[in-house]
Amino acid sequence: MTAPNYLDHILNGAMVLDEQCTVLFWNHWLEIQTGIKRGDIVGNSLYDFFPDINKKLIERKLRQVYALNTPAFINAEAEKYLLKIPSKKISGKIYDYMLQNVVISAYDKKERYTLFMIYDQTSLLEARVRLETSTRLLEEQHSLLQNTLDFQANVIFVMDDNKIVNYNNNFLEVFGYDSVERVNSGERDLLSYVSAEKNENLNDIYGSFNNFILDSLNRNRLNKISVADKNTGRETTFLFSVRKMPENSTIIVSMTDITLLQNREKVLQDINLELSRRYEDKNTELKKLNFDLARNRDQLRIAQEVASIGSFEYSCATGSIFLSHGLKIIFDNPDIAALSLPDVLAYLKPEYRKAVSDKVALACREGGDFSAYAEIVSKKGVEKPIGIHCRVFGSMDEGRRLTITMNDLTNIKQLENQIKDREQLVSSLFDVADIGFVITDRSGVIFRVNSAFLSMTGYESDDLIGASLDKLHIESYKSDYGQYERDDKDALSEVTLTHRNGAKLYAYMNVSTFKGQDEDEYRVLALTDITDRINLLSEQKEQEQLLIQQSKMAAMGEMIGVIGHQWKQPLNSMSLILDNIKSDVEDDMLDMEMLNIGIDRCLEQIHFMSETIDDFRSFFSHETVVSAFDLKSTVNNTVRLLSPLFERHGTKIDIVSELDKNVYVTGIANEFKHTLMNLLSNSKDAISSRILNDTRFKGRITIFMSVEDSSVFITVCDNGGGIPEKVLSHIFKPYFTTKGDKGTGIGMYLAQIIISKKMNGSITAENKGEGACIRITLPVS
Amino acid sequence: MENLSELQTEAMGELFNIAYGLATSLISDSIGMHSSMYVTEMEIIDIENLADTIAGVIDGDKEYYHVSQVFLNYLEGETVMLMSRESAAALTECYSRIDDMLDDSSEEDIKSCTLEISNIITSALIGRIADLTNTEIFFQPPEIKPYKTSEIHDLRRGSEFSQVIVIKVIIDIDSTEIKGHMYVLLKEQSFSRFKEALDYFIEHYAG
Repeated sequence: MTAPNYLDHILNGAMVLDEQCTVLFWNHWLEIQTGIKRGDIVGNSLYDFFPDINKKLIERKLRQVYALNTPAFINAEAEKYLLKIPSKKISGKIYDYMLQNVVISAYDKKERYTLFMIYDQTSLLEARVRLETSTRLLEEQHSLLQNTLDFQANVIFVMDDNKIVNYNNNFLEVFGYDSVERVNSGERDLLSYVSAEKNENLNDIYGSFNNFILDSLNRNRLNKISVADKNTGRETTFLFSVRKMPENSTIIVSMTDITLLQNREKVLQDINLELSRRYEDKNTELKKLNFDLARNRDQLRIAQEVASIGSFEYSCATGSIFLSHGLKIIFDNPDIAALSLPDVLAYLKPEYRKAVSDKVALACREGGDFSAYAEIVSKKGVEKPIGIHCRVFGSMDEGRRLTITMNDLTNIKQLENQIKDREQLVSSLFDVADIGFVITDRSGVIFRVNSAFLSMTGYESDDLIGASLDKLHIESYKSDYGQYERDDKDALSEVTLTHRNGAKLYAYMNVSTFKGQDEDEYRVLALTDITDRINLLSEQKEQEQLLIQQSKMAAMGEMIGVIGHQWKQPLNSMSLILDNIKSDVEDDMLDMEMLNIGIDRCLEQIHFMSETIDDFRSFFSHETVVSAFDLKSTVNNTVRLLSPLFERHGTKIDIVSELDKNVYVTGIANEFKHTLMNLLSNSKDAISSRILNDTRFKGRITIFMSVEDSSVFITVCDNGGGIPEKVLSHIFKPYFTTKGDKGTGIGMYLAQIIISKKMNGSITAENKGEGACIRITLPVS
Repeated sequence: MENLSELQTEAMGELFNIAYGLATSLISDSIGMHSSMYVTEMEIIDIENLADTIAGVIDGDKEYYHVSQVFLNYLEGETVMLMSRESAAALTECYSRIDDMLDDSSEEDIKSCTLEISNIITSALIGRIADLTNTEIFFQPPEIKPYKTSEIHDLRRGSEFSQVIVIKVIIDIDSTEIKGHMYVLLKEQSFSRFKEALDYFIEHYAG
C-alpha cells in the first residue's frame, strides 16, 4: 500500500497494520529507531519481528477502534511500550527501552487497516522520574530543615512580600495556629499581633509588619516586641533579629523569648527599689524616733508638772542623784542643787525621813521596788502629802540605779474631800426623795436603799443591805390602772412587792443599769408606790359595775313597759274569748267544738306571751363571758323586742343594713344590747317631746349598719330634733342629763365605757338632718 | 435536571444507554466474558458543585485513580473517571483471565486496565454524540494519576467549564461488580451543542 509521504518526515513512529497485524506501512522514523528496514518488514507479521508484543492487548485495541469508531491508546506510563526498542541514550539513561504512547486509529475502515502512531515518551518520563526524585529529595531536605527549625527554641519564620512562606512550630504556638492562613489571605497583618515597647502604635507608624521589619533591618538594631497570648492575655517579650536574603526579597526573622530575662531584670530592679525604699523608711523612722524621744522628754516634763509628779535618779554605787524639773516644782525650789540623797530627804518631815532612807538602802542592797507615803515641807513652807514609788534598775554587780518618783497628792486629797462632800449631798438627796430607790450589784445583792423605800416597805436598812433582791418578792403586775391614767406605758413596769408585814404593795418600777469605771454593773430600781391608786381603781370599777347594774334595772323598767304592752293585746283577746264562752254557756249555745276553738285561741295567746317572757329573760340574763357575737342578729333581736312599744309611742324603727354576711364583734352581747336600747330609748324620748307639741308628728329611728376594712359601723339616727350644740360635748360625762329628774345621766356614760373600754371601739354623737346620730365603731372579730 | 427539559433528559438517558450498550458489547468481546453496565445515577450539576458532589461519593478510607481525557472540536471538554483501587484491581483481575500477561497486583497493569475501560466509556459516550451530529471529535490520550482532592478544586478554578454531567456507573463483569464515577465536564458552548444534539436525537430517533 502507499502511505502519505509526510509520514516519513515526522519525528514519531507510524505504521499501518491489517487485521492480522501484517505490516502494511513502516515509516522512516521506525526504520531508524528499530533498525528494521521497511523492505524487510512490510508484508510480514509484526509479531515475527516483535515477539514480545501483547497480542491480546492489540486485539482489544483494534476491536475498540472498529467497534466504537474512536481511537484507542497505549499509555507509556501503564504499558511502557508497544514495540520493544532499546534506548539509544548513552548517558543518564533510566529506561532500557523506549517508552511509548501509541494512538491507534482506523486508517481504512473498509479494509480495516489501522494506523499506529508511536510517540517517544522516554525523555519525558525520565524527566518526570528525575523531577520526582528531586522533589522527594527536596521534601526530605525541607522536612529536615523544618525539623531543625522546629527544634529551635526561637520563633523563626520566613517572609516574602508580607506573606509567611515558612515558619516553625514555635511561630504557630506564639501567633496562633490560624495566623499563617490569616496573614497570607490578607485578612490580618502580622503587625496586629505584636506590640512594641513604650506602647508605640506600630500600625500607625509602619502600616505593615514587612515595613516594620525592613525599618529595623535598615537601622541595624535589635528590637523588642511583645506578643499577647490570645487565650490568657499574658505577654511574651521577644528580641528579634532579621536577615534579608541577598538574592531576593525573602526575609528571615528570628525571635528570642526574653520574658524570663526581662522578668529577672525587673525583679532585680524591684528588689533594689524595695531596698532603697526600706532604707528610706528606716531612716525616716529613725528620725521620727529621735524626734519622738525629744518630744517625749518634753511631754514627760510637762506631764510631770501637770500631774504634779517629780522624780530623781539615784545611783546606789556613787550616791549621785539627778532631779527632774517636776520635783523642783514640788519642792517649790526651781534652783535646788541637791547633790546627794540626804539633800532630797531633807524636804521630808522628820518623822518620814528614816523610813524612806531605810527603804532606799534596802532597795540598793537587795533590789525590789517599793512604795511609800510621806509628807514634805516645801521651800515656801507648804506641807504636801507625797506618794513615793521606787523602781530598781541594774544588778548589784553593774551598780543599781533607782528611779524614785514623788507624786504631789495635795490635789488628790482635795478631790477626795470634795467627793466625800458630794457623796454626802447625793446621799441626803437620795434619802429626801419620795421615790424608793434600791441599788444592787450585778448579781442582785442590795447594797443601798433610801429611806423612802424603807418607809414604803416597812424594812430597816440592815434588813435589806447585803440581802438578795428576791427578798422583796418583786413580780410583774399589770393592773388596769395604766390604761386609765398613763400614756407612757412602756417606760415603766408595774410590779407588786411584799411589805414587811406581808401586805401586797403595788408600784411602778423603773430599772436603770450603770456601768462603773471598774466595769462593774449596778442596777438602780426606782419604785413609786401606787397601792392607793390601784385600790381607788378597784373601787371605781366596782362603781362602774354598779352603774351598769342600775342601768340594767332602768332598762328592766323599760322592758316591763314593753312586756306590758306586748301582753295587753293577748290579755284583751283572751278576756274577749272567755266572755264569749261565758255568754254562750249562759245562753246554752256552747258546744264542744266551739269550746275547743276558744281554748285553742287562748293557748295561742298564752304561747305568744310566753315567747315575750323568754325574750325578756334572755335580754336580762346575767351574762359575763366576753365572746364574739353576731352583730346583725343582736341588733335585729333588740329592735324586734322594742318595736311594738315604740310604734305605740308613734315611733317606727327601721334597720338599713349593708352587711351582706354575718359580722362578729367581741364583747358581752347583753351589754351591747343595753347600750343600743339606751340609744333607742333616748331617741324615743326626744321624739315623744316633739309628738307632745304636734300629735301628727311621725317619729322615725333608723339604724344603719355597714362594714369597711376591719371595722363595723352602727349609726342610730332619729328625727327627734337633735342634741343642743352646747351640750353635745358633755353627753358622755357621768351624771349628765338633759331629761331633768326623768334621766339618771349614766346611760351615755355607760355606753361609752362599754363601747370604748370593754369592746375597744368608739362612740361619737352629732346632729344630722332632723335629729341626732350616734355612731358606734367596733373592730370586726 | 438543570438546564435540560424533561424530553432532553430522557433523550440523554436513551443516548447514553446506547453508548453503554456498545461499550458493554466491546468489553464482553474483549475479555470473552459476559458483562453489563448500569447507570445508577445521572444528573447535571454546576461546575461549582463538583467538588462537593465528589466529596459526597468518595470513601475517605480508600485510594482512588483519577483518569482524565480531553476531547476537542465539536464538543470540547474533559471526562474524569474516579475508580477506587479496589475496583480497578477487580477489573484487572477480570482482564487477566483472558490475558495471562496481566497481573492484578501490578500497579502498571491496573493502570493499563483502568485507562482502557475509561477510554472505552469516554469514547462510547462522546463518540455517540459525534456520530449523531455527524461531526468529528478528537480525543487526547487519557492520563491516570492518584486522586487528590486539591486537583478537583483546581478544575473549578480558572477553567472554562460550566456544566458537569455526573454519571455513576456500575460494570458487572462475570458477577464482579466494578464501580466508577464518571464526570463529563463541558464548556458552555459545548453544553449548548450537547443540548442541540439531544434535540436532534429527539427529532429523529425518539418515539
